[in-house]
Amino acid sequence: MRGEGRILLALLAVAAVLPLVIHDDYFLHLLVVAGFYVILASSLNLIVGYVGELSLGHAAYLGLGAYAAALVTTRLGLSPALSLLAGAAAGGIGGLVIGALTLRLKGPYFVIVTLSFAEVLRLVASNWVELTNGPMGISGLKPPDLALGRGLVLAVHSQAAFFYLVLVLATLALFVMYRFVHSNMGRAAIAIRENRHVAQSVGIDPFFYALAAFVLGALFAGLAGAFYAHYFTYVGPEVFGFSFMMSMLIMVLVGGKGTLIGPVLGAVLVTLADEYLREAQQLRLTLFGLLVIAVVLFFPEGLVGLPAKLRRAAAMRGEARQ
Amino acid sequence: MLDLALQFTVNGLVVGAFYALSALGLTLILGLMEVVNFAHGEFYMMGGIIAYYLTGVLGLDFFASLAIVVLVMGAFGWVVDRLLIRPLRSKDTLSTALVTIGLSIFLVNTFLLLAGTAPHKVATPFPTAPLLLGPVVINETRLFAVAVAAVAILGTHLLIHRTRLGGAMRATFQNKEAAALVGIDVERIYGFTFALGTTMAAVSGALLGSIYVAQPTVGGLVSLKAFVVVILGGMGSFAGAVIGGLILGVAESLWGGFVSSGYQDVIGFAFVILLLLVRPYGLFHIRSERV
Amino acid sequence: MSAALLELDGVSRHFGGLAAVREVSFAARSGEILSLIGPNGAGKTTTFNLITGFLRPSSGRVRFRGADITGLKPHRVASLGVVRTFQKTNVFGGLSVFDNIVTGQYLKARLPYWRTWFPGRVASARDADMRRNTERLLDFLDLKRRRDDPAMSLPYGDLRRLEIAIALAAGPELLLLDEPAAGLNTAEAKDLVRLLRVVNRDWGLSILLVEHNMGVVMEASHRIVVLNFGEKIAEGTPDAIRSDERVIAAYLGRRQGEP
Repeated sequence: MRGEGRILLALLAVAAVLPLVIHDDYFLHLLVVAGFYVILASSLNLIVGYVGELSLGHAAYLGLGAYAAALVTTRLGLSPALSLLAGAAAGGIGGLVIGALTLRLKGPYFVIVTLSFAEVLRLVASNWVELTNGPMGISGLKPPDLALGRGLVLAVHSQAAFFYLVLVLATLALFVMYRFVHSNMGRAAIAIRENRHVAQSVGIDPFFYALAAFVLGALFAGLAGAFYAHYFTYVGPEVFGFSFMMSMLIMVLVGGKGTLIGPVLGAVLVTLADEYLREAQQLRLTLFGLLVIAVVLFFPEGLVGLPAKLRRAAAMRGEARQ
Repeated sequence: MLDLALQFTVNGLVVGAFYALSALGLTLILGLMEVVNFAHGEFYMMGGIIAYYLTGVLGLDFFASLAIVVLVMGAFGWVVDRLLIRPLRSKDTLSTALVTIGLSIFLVNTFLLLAGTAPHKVATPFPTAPLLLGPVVINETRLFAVAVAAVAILGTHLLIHRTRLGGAMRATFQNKEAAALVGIDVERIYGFTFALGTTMAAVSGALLGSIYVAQPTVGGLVSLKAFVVVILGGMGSFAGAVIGGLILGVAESLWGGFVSSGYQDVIGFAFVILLLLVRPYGLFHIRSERV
Repeated sequence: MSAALLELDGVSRHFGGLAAVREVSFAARSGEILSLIGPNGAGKTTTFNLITGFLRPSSGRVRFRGADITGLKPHRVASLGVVRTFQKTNVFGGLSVFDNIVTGQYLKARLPYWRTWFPGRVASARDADMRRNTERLLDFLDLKRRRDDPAMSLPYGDLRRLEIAIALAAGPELLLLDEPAAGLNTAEAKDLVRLLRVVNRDWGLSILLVEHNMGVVMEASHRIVVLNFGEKIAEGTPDAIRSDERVIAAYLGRRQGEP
């Protein structure tokens, strides 16, 4: 197994024992939210980091997943476990449709059209009152108890239980992404990012692999959305909004795009920072804005790239001394 | 019914004039410099807030304030280009888009800290009394603001097509290497273009702030609308931005008046999505697809 | 050495009203090194683009091993065994030299998509194969020292060899090289000729070469096709081309018919 896989496993092991040592419900809540963002940011990273396309419509899949979960449980009365699947499916199908329509477009057009799709969905969610309850949103979702067999139900009620649920989902997501990224498919996606023309000339179909990464990313964003719906027991049009998009984008950038660990670190750090700077509401966002600028200009590889950058700098100093 | 339609059309043209002005700024930045500028709406917002401070708080004359907005925001645009965009000139769309997203977050929240969430109105010397033009009602401030917008659009057109500087701009964006070879300072042209785009957004914001209100959080929607207009009109197309802006203004006004005000903002996005599906080359034959 | 591997049959390409390539026909035979030469703007790179699907011909047909490949997408053309390099050096800049060559083997590494998530023995065997092949190419192109360096940090000569390594990694039957000697010094150009010969003779690859360096062209080619202003003006062995008057006139900058 590669270094990246080992680090992820170590992080998983640490995460798994956290509820045993932390009994503070508020802190566990933060960790659940961080877990949600780990899935979300990692899913965006497949597109932004690996294929190298700035999709600003990623909140669309989050929203589709959240609404799908809310609708199948409140309207159809399906079990919450099925609604997680429904959320992932809704996100994936949304990604397939939107990706197929937009991935042929050049850079700036792609950015704006993906954003347009998310905005259209947000406006539909606020205006189609019969289906979505409009700006009021859908509330009263049940916790996602998992029926393991007749009479055997894994109840997900406590913060710790939610934490383990999100940990399982995040692990699943990262495992699927790990295999993808380190396979021939993943190499093809990276090749498109690095040089589209050379990729084509060695036989890679850029559209197909960009779409594959796109659908995979959308699917896990949908899953994250479904989890969000059950955890907060409420879904409103803001799930399609640009603020989710901003949050996940900041996480991917700060952690380091194009690596699996980067978005995980970014999600946890930004979630915690966001919470502890909450009192300084606008000042916090002002700082985030500066942070994004600084990362893009000076640390394009994010936190994950920092050790290598420091090493390079040290090596340069060493050479200069000799 | 017809009178109502006429009224909605006039309202739409008024709003459309400002869409056009702010989209013109963006078509320079997005169409020519290929920077997907998410801070465009914030430049617009800054124009409005600064104009409010100058007229409402300091009590300056409206025209003097407008001139100050032009100078301050021009300088601001130049600095932004120098510090944030120039280091990324050789990079891809992703980097510049991201840096402007950061700038946008920074500016919105800085202005929320400074100016608060309350909407402000830019003071003008014109009476707000309604003016009756046949069946159509319009007030003097609106008429005046539209006139200033028209002058700004015309002025920019002349600047680009009749001056040496404009000639250097056109040469640079047609072929950067060749322009550099004949002695044009390409970096200076980029800086100027960005400053010009910024100024146009700010003037649009100051003018619209005199009709509606100036507010720190307005930028996001303005950016999106400007993107929509630029895509409709064709990247970098001057006439396209003007026509696209007017069409969007009228379409929104008619749709909002007759069909559904809830879906009014969907129109622009729906236009863009449909356009790129039906005519992926854009309205003005600019290729949006890749090989 | 006789069967036609690649055939162009009256291929034209217009840009607006201008013909970049006009009614060009020629055939590359299996096992040969065929060079495409001509002054700047003669349409050589356009011809490459027309063969490999980066451009669609306005008219005419392109056939590979008898099958019509006109207008196929670039990756489809590549998957049939026609792999190209680019005039401006093109590699996967952010990846290491090793990963560049691994990525080049995409076609050989393809497995059913579900294997991505359930790799099993097949995938690991395939992986090991690919690594061996990569080491072999690193060795062959003298890039071993650079194995783990990011491609964008390579000096120019190494970069050009990496580009060829990526193309070879794709396992082509016909290799199209667009000015591989551009910017190389005399010694490096000699090495390139040696390399082309080995690849051609020992590995059995056919090569279509666009090149300005006449030393390389004359030494490496079995046959030469000459383009001028988008039209074919001559075809033959290096010796025949060297003494062809139309070719000499074209290179001295005169159009046909002018004194």
